[in-house]
Amino acid sequence: MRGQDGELRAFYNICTHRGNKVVREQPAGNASGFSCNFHGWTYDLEGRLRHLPDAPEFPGLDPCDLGLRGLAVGVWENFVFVHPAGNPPPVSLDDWLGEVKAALVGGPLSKLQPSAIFRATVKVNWKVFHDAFSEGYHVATIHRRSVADAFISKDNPYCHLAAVRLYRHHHIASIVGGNPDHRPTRAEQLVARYGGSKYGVSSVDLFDQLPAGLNPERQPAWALDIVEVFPGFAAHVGVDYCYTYNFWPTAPDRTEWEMRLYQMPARNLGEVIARQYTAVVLRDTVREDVNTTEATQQNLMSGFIQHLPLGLQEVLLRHRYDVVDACVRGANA
Amino acid sequence: MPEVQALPCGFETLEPFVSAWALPTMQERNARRVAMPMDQIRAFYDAIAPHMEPLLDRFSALSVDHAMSPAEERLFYLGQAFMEVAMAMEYFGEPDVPDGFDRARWQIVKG
Repeated sequence: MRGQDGELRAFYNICTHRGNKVVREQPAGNASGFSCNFHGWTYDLEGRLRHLPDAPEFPGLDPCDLGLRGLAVGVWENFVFVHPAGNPPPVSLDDWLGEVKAALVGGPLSKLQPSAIFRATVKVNWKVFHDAFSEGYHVATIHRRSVADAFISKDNPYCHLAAVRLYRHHHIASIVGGNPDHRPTRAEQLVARYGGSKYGVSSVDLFDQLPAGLNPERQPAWALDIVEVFPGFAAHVGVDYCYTYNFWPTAPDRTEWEMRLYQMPARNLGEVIARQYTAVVLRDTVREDVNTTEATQQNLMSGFIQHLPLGLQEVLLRHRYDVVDACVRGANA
Repeated sequence: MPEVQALPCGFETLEPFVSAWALPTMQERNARRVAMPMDQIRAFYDAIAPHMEPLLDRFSALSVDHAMSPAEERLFYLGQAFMEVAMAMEYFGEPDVPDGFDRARWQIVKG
């Protein structure tokens, strides 16, 4: 939340009295403060305890020690990150993002505005869920009824990655797109003409707006870069749009998932209509992806599978499991 | 006062589709799409497709903070509904996503 002083802060949603929630609705919008509806303890936007009902009955307690417990907050482009440790966090957000942040400097992220949000509770481990979006190998099969033809050209039928960069925890891969033989549908023609987002179509004409870190090979048939920030965040970044995934594990086989689409601010109402198409296409296409995950999880849990044969194009999955393994062993934390 | 005209001049032929498709949110438009049989989705798509260029020309001339009249607003929602049904018509050939994640568990928070 942003305080009266303009500063961004994050707090655990836990009343410091008996542990009830101080925000019970969707955590969005404006408020002048927060009140626990159990015993009426009230906090201001800076997290300080402002009202302690029947205070004399709490002898020896200093209200200054009873503010909401804070989390560390960091901002990267349009995204706010929190760290469960208080301030300062064990590693700063800038240090954690490292090369990923550098790669996207000057890119489209800060110009984009949120336009669509989708959520689901999925019965799948967060890593297996992440894996569904981390390669181009699945595009020809899973998306054969939707975007495969727009993305895949005959000289790259398996959607081989155009570039891969592996860092200590994170990684970026460039996904090809803009099949020159794809015959645009009626909607796609309208979207192109009336200022829709360049999802699934060539964006060569806008490459001068790309920072060197996106599509570093300047592959002409480029769609987007998959930017995966370990452990639970991914941003798929195109020339004039971006969509993000947040993976929140709530159990070994359960993930709260959120997808957000960001697009350039519309300059007129025609562009609002044209940009709606990208939101519809991504919504429907990602439902194809997500549908694979629960079956995979069930089979992994069955115990029949001892290992998975990952191909060279599945390098981001291999990297993720290397990083997870190192973190679990305490070698790469 | 009853509305004299459901849609702006030039788009009168789309009036039979207003009650079903002039819906303000993606959530409502998607719910309508998956609840409709394909022949009714096709009837709407075929009727509005030839009007999409004039429709988009009209709205491209209006700023995002333009105060739309009720008739204009209905036409705007019909334009968005075209984008909603396009995937069903041009790709899936059926109202919903074939082999898609359970729609009942997929929350459209904003769209």
